[in-house]
Amino acid sequence: MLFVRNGYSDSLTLEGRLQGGRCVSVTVQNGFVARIEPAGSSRAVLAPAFVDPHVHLRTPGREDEETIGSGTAAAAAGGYCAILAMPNTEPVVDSAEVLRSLAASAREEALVPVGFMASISKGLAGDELTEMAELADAGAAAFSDDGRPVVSAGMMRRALQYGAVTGRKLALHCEEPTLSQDGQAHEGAVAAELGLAPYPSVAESAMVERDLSLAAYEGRPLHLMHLSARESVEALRAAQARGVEASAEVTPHHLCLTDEAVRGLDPNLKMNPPLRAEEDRRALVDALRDGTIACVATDHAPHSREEKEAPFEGAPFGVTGLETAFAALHTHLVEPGLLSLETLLERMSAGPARALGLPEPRIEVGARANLVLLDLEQEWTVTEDRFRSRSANSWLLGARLRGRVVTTVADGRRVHG
Amino acid sequence: MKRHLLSVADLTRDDVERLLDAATILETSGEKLETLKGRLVLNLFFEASTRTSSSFELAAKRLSADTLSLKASGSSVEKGESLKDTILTLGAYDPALVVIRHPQAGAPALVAAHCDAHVVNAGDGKHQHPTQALLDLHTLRGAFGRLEGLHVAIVGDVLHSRVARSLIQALRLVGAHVTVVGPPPLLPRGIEALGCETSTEMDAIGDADVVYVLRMQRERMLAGANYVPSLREYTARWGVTPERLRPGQKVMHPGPMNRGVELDPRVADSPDSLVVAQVRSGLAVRTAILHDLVAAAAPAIRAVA
Repeated sequence: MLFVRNGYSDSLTLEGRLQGGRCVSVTVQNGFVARIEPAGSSRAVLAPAFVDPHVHLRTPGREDEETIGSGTAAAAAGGYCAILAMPNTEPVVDSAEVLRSLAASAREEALVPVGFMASISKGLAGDELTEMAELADAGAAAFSDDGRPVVSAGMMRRALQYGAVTGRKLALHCEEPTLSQDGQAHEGAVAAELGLAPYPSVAESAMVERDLSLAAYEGRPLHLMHLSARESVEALRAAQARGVEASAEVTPHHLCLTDEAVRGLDPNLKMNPPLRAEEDRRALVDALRDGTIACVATDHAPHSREEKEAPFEGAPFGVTGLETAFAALHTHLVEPGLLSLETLLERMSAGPARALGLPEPRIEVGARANLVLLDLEQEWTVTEDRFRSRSANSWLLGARLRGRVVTTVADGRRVHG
Repeated sequence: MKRHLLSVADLTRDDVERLLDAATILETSGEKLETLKGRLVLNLFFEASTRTSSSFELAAKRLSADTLSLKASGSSVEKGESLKDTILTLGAYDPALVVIRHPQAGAPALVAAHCDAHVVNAGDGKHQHPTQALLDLHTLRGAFGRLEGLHVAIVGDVLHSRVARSLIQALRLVGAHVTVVGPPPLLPRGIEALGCETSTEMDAIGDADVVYVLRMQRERMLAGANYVPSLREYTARWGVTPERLRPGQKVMHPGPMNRGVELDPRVADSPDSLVVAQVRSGLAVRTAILHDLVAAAAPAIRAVA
């Protein structure tokens, strides 16, 4: 279930090139697509707006870092028409009361429709299930202990079993904590040279394999979040081939960067899971291309300036991403020919919508308008003052990108451009 | 040399030779220099230190600097002041140089970003300790008369050692050969990329000109992490004893040493131990480094000494 500010619908017309090359003029009336008519040539691309299954809105508890208002404004600027917020807030979204208060706030503040995940375990402690049925009834979009793994295999199995009554997916942060320990960077030559505590790939892939085994045994679907390692991709591909209903997501930073980027010890390149080796990055790009991984997710993780202005080892994990995801992936993957634009647009919109059971944004007469207009040739520099997010811990600060979100229409309203 | 000395990677081979030449001159002449007269050197030690902090203090004094030394305990760091605010505060005194030791990798780079002084990394986390590497090169050059082609075996807890990382890089920079030896969990995966060989067997030290013994860093061992089953077993298998050394094979240790754990006391006190020479090198090399960083326009040590 998605929540958005109550109010109005827009009427407007957007012109652009659809996938396939046809130039059209799309007329939106009262929030719905009323007409799609042929138009003259256009340099802009018109596509279904994006869906982000993994955003941290930091509300409640850290409204200094992000609010529902600022996070959805950032989503609007990034071309999104729907986002899902993670429940690792303070307090944790582990009761219907917290969820209902978030939904009420979203009806006041959310510029773009937002769904809220509830936690799998009470307080993210990993030992007691939340009241999942009640949470689902209150509108939980899915269940996740993101930021932490469900450490106990027995607990994970119960969550898969009981979760069946909710009709919602479990979204899993896969990390075997006794292998990741206090890991700060991918275990490999870069961490060895920098002396950063190593966080090996197998800390992720061992947990991915465990969770896929449990999902297969229980015959239940699951969603794997922010995959980073080649071995995880291989395990996922094999499980899908065996018929396990597993979806997965990958972040722009894991698709664009490797652990080489950590050499400068910039805290804005510190995230969990860490940036990995080139072979991992290639495996992620291949998986996104062939559909093994069907979603791009930003894992937008705002952090306050003072927390990130620390030595690398003292800084928290996480980077922002909503406002730069499309431009980064267009610049780093589409322009060099590693991924087609068509595939990227699908993996940022229909892919995540399907994986998390959200309505698929479509450009068709009678549909609620969820549109993004993109200028592929516009070059721009990522600067702090342009962010609508309350936080600026972007891995792209100062970067020059090609491709820009010009206009976003979300749930029938022009929210950007 | 670059503006700051944050990592061995900031040095060229020419830098190393110039610094070691200057240190050699400084060792023979006890004369005080006026390089930093009227200037301030800040020594920020957020982690315990005997050798490094004392030698930096003496080095600054030898260059006629005013010095201000700060430790984490007893300072506003204990009240939760961030490193950024600490350096902005102390930067107001217009230091020429800031020497910093910190438990977290990346701290010296943060300091360099927030003040105008030249910054010297005196050890950050498990990352880098470039002045230790330079003083070790100086000690080696003093003992062997050359660096090119030397074979150094580094033994022990490489995983947690900033000394090992910096030294491997520095030795490779000057054309020496390096083998690291230790228990498998204490040899970081991927360390070969620095250009060293690795072995888990003590036989591998046999061909080395020098055995460089690392401190078995008990304070960095997580409880129950099981890098080694016990210090007892570590000592039995990887301890550096007279029986495991060739006659005349030199031994080094960055200190502080655990006598009887990684290093047999008979070795520590033998004439083949270069440990005291390392400490002496520390003062001369750190003096040369401070001088070199500020003295781009000032006369070279050769001229003034």
